[in-house]
Amino acid sequence: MRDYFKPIAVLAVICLVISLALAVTNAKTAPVIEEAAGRKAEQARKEVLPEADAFTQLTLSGLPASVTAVYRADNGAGCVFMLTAKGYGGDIELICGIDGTGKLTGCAVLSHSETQGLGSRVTLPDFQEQFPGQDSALSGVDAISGATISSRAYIDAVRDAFTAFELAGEAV
Amino acid sequence: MNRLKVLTNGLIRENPVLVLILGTCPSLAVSTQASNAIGMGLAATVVLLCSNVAISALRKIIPDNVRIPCYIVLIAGFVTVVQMLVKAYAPAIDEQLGIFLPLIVVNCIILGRAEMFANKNTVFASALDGIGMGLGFTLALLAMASIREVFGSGTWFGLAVPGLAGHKVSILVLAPGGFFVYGVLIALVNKLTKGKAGKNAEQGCAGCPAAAACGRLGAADEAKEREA
Amino acid sequence: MESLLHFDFKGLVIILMSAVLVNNYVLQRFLGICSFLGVSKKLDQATGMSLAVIFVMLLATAVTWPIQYYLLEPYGLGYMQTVLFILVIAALVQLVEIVIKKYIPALYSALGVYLPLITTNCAVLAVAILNVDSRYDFLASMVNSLGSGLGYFLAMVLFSGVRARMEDGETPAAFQDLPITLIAASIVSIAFFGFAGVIDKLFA
Repeated sequence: MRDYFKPIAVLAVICLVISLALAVTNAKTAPVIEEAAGRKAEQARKEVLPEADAFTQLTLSGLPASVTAVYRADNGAGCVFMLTAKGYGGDIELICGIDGTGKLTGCAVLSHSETQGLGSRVTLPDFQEQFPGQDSALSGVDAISGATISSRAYIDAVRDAFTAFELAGEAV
Repeated sequence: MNRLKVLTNGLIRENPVLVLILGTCPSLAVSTQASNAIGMGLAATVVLLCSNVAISALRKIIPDNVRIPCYIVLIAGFVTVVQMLVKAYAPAIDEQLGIFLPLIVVNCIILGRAEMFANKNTVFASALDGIGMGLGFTLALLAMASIREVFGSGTWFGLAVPGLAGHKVSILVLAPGGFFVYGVLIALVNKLTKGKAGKNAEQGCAGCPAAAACGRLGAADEAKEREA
Repeated sequence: MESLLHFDFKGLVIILMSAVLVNNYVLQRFLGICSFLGVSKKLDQATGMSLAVIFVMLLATAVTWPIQYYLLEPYGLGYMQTVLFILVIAALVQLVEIVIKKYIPALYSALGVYLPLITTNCAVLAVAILNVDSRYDFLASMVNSLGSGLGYFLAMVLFSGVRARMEDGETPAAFQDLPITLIAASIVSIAFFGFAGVIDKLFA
C-alpha cells in the first residue's frame, strides 16, 4: 500500500508547490508585463505619429483584412493603423500613421520573418524613408528589387491603411 | 570530488554543446546574434542552477519510479518563472528567443544533469555543476553566435565591425549557416582534443532519460545485423 | 486574404504545405535536431521515428488545444501552460506505449522503441505551443501539427539517404561522424529555401 501511496503523494506535493510558486510569480509579474506591452505599443504609435498626445482605439466595420487595429489621436493629429502584410516568409506586422490632411507621417515594421538580407530590407531606412509625406496615391514609392514580394506586400498594406483612413474619417 | 574541477568541467572538458552534444536545438536557433546567445545562456544557467539544487535537495525524498515526472514538473516550473521574469523585465530578449524560452524545459542538458549529477551529489556540488554547465552552454553559444554575427551581419553585439560591413555572408545567419558553423566548431574541438567529442558524447547519452530507448535501438540494430 | 481568416479548405492547404516545406521544423526552425541527428542513420529507423512523431504530435495537439482554450484561458491560468503541456505529453507517450503494447503488438514492435525518445523531443512541445501562439482554431491546429510532422518525416527520410552516401565517403578525421553530418544538413537545408514564397503564391 505504501509503495503506491508515497510516489503519488510526492508527485502531488511537488505539483502543488510548483503551481503555488507560479501563481505567486504570475501575480507579481503580470502587471509589469502588461504595463511594458502597453508602453511599447504607445511608444510605437507615437513614433509614427509624433504630433499626437494620446490615442483611442476605434471599432470600424468593413476594414480591409490587413488592417488589424485603428487608433485615433485624441488631439486630432491623425490616425495610426496596425497592419498585417503577407510577406515572403510569413506575416509582416507594421504600423503607420496618417495625419489629418491625409499624408503619411511614418511607417515602421513591428515584426517580420522575411529572409535575412533580402526581404528584411523592408525594415531599412532606404525603403522606409519613401513613405513620410506621401498621400494615398503613393506616387514614386518603389518596391525593392530582389525583395519584390516583401516590399509589394508592404506597399499594399499601406494602401489599405488609406482605405481604413477614409472609413475612419466617415466614422467621425 | 575536487570542487574547482566540478565547476570547470562543464566549461571545457565536458562542454555540453561542443563535447557532450546536448541542447543542439537552441544552440542552432538562437546563435544568430551574440546578445541572444547571452540571453539564452543565462536563462538556461538560472534554470539549470535551480533545478540542480532542488533535485539534489529532494534526492532522498523523490521515489525512484516517479523521478522523471517529478524532475519535469520542477524544471517546467523554474522555466516558467524565468520566462515570466524575462517577459516582465527584459521584453526585448523574450521577443528574440521566442519559442525557445519555454523549450528550455526539453533542453536535454537540464534533464541530463539532473539524472547524471544532481540526484547523486550534494546540494553544493550540484549547484557548482549547474553553474559550470550553464556557463559552458553560454560560452559555446557565444562562440557560435560571434562567428555567425560577425561574418553574417558584420556586427558584434549589434555594433558594426569595421571593414566587414560591405562583405556580409548573409547565409551564416540563416538556417544552413547554423548547421555549418556548428559542424566546423565540433570538428575544431575534435581536432584539439584528439577525438574526445565523439567519445564523451556517449557519456552524455548515459544521462539522457531516453538513453534506455536509444540503447534498445542500438541493440535492435545489432540483432538485425547478426541476422543478415 | 478572406479565406485565410476563415480557414476554408484553401487556407488549410496553405497551412499544411507551409508547415511541410517552408517552415520545415528540422531544417528551417531547428526543432527536433537531437533525434534528427541521432536516428537518421538508417531509413527504417528514420521512418519509424517520424511516424511515431507524427502520431504523438497529432495526439498532443488534440489534447492540449482543448486544455488551453477550455481550462487555462477561461480561468486565467495561462502561466501553467508549459508545465501542463509537458506533463500531458509525457503522460500521453506513456499511455500510448502501454496501450499499443497490449492491444496492437505489431505496431508496438515497429514504433515502440521510438516512443520514449519523443517526450524530450522539442518538436512536439513546440507544435503544441506554436498552435496556441498562432491562434489557430482546432482544425487548423490539427492540420498544422500534421504538416509539421510530415515536414519532420520528409527531412528525416531525405537525410537518411544523404547519410547513407556519406558512409562511403572519406572524411578528414576531425570531421568524421557529427561534424560532416551537420555540414550535410546545412546543404540539405539550403535546398528548402527554394520553397519559401512558393506556397502562398501557388494557392493565392
